Amino acid sequence: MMMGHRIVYIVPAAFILFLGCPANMPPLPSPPDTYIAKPAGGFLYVLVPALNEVVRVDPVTLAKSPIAVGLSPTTMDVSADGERLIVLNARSSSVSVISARAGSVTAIPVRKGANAIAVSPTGRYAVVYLDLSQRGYVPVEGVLNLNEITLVDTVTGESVPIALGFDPSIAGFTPSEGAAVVLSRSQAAIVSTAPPYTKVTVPLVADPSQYVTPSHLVVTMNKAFVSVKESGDIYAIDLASPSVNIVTVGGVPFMVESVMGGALLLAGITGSTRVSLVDTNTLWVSVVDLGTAYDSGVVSPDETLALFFKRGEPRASLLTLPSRDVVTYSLLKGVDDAGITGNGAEALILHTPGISPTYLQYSVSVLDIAGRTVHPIALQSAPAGFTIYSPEAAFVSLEDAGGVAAIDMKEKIGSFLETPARPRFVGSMGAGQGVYVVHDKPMGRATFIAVPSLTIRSVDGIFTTGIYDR
Amino acid sequence: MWIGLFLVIALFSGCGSLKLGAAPGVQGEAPPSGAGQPVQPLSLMLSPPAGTDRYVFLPLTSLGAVARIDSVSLGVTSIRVGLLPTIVMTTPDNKRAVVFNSGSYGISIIDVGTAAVTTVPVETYFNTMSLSPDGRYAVSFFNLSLAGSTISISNVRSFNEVSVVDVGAGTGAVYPVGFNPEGVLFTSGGAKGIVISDNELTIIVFSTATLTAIPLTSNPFGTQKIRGVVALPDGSRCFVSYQGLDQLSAVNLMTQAVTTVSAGPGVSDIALSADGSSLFTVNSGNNTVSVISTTTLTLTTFTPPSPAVINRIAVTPDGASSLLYSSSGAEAKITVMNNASFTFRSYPLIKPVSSLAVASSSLSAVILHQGSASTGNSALDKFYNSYPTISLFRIATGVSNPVAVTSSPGRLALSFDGAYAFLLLPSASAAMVADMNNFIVDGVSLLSTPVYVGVFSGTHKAYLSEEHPLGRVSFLDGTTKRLDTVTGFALNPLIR
Repeated sequence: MMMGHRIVYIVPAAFILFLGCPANMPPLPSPPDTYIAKPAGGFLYVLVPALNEVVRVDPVTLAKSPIAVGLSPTTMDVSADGERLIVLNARSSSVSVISARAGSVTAIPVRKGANAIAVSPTGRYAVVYLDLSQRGYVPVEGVLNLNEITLVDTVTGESVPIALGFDPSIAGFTPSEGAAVVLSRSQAAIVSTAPPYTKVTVPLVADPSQYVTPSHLVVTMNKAFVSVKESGDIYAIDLASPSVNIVTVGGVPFMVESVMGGALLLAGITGSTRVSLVDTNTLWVSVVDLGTAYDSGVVSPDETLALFFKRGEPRASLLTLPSRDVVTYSLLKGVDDAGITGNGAEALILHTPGISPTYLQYSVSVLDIAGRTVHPIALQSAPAGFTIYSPEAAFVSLEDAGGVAAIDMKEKIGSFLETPARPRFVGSMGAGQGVYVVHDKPMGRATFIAVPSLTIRSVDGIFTTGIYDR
Repeated sequence: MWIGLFLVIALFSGCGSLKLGAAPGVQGEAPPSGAGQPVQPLSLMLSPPAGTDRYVFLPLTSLGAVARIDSVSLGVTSIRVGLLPTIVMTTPDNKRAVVFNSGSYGISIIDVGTAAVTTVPVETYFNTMSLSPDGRYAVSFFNLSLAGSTISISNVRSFNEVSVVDVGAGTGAVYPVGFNPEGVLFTSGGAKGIVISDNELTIIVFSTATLTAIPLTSNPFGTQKIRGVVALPDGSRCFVSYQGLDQLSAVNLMTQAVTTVSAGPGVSDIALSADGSSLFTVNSGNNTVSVISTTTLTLTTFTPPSPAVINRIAVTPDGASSLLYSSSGAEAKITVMNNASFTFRSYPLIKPVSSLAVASSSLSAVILHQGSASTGNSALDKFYNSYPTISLFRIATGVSNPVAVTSSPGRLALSFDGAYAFLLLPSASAAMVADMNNFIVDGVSLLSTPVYVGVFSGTHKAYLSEEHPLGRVSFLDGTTKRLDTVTGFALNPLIR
């Protein structure tokens, strides 16, 4: 489950037709059939790969400003503080660093072949790498290294290639940004972000005839926690004096999350009614029995609550982490997705669509956590996505209904807001800045919803900004 | 079948005795996992760990390293030593760990605090090491009985030498000894080492590097095999018993005079009194105990008044009593002998004895049982015959607390003060903690199969080495029953 910043993939089919690939160029690393929209610095940024640009949309003036980036931009990431966007340009082997507020852009070269990027909390550093697990054709021009990353300092513009284990797949940074942790097949690497960029490699197996594939990475101030596929082991890597201790969480985790401000690691276990809590300091493992086996979980923004559910099952359990209390809710419909408000007072549950056309065929529910009550709300069509904007308001996109359900989380009631086109995704622009809706329109359309007035303003032609609006 | 001759200095019997070959079940005596054990994906050969008052050292044999793990912080330090480290021991002052590298033929001395390593070479092809009780000298040699069936040689090869390493100074020397050394016995304080060869003793005075050979027979290749050797604490004399013989050799270590003392019939075990004034022999031929004065070599034989089948003896550390029992499963009984008055009291047990360990407090013992219960109480017998059983035995009163366990007991360790016993239950992936004062027992589930157990000195905490392809050790506090587990330390030497 992701809230706030979410990658949106929509097909701007028209551009594939008339732009195509320039001559003498190898095939693109992935088809230019998606675009990505992300809010940053009070603007909505939309990646337009076909035009090699990012369009900045002002939600107040609805002005669209194209920003040229490199060739074949494939991904766009935003720093956690929302101040920087980093665009990875596949064909020009570079990243474009965009100042979110000023809109200025700086290009920094990276090693060729990269298709993935991890950004440090402030956006100062990025790790750029080739993730072989991503969909799409990976072109090989001459030589393509499968064991290297590029560490980028977006402030100094330095770009440092670093060789490490085969097939880097997950990367993260310490909260202080002093080190990056990159997971490869059977290996973790700790890379200092300051010159001379020292690297420590930590094996995840001791027998070279075997390998493991990392599945989750959580980085705290002094440790990195790595889980691997098909295993109940979590590797706790001490970052200060690199050493490994493996904690066993009782089964293959479907989620590994840092909770309680990094004091604990929460691991939901596949096929088990129990979840494990790992003290990130002592590595002491404690177990909480939820009473039901789940396959998904979400953590509240303050990291004190966790809501577990199994997709399609009409049941959810809320774990209060400080007290380890568990409350199980019986629901009218199965659960598809969920989120918890920032103050931990309510949770929003998106239900799986029913087969028979009853009043609850499509619905969401609001959980009153303190009151231990559930409040179903019927919808016209299936909920496609949602954002919890504030403790008072959540928004659910209803594609087939052509609008958005605005949910009053306190009153547990909803309102329907009709939008100019089918909403594909809804997200928050940030506290006090309203909500954006991305529509499934070939020219690129977005709608901005003011909160709490719920007034709607739309802008169209985002994809054509670089062609017609100059 | 013996897997070699295991040289054991049992924790509870002090430093002055050495038995060649011992019954499995008590710490250090059982062979390492062998046939029937699951094949691990990584050949991380488990070797016995060694502890100090805080740290445990675990050999990472295939990685040429030793893991030092802090039982308090659970921090792991990888220490590079030589190739194939197989034996690690710690000095009683907790300042050094001494590692035998069987692949590079050296002894690595590790400073426990700094993890600094000094390696001293030993003679090529040596395969074992002993450490003096004071931790000052390590003696390494080739023990033929520990080697495989085929021994390859390069150039020349002999079987009559030992390397002595001064652990404090980090220096080594090679000394010739009798043919085919099988063990080393240290006198109290570690001033002398007695190297036991096939039919010869070699006395090494470490401080002066003086060697004295004492042949026990005229034929060094004869079939007469030493069963056990005990030495007086002051190093003045030792006694040698032989397999299948009722005669013992009393060896004056000062004059090298060897005097034959006859005991028996059927001498099956020997032990020294705590003060060294008497040598006890158990005569399984007539179920008697002979007491030999270690000064006059006069012999007096005592017969327990109530008929008892005995072939083993364990002297309590305080020297007040001896426990007599049969390790062959002959009867469910134990006999306590007063070592001053030579009076006997026999007590029934739930099952026959397999082996036992006496707590250092001399107040109690842990008895591992074998065979069947036949108390006459059918319900009781049915229950205890359904499970492997141990007993906690109070020596003064003869009260025993039979404890059923879910799987066959593995290795056992007692805290240095005798307050807690830790027993491994390998097949159940569990351990038992016994409070040796009130005889309350607790079971603790482990994450995997435990293999070795030891106790941190000055604590009530044990370390349990477990099977795991990447290395696993658990720390179990006998008082609180808190269990901490460290896994994956075999990866640490590979961090670059």
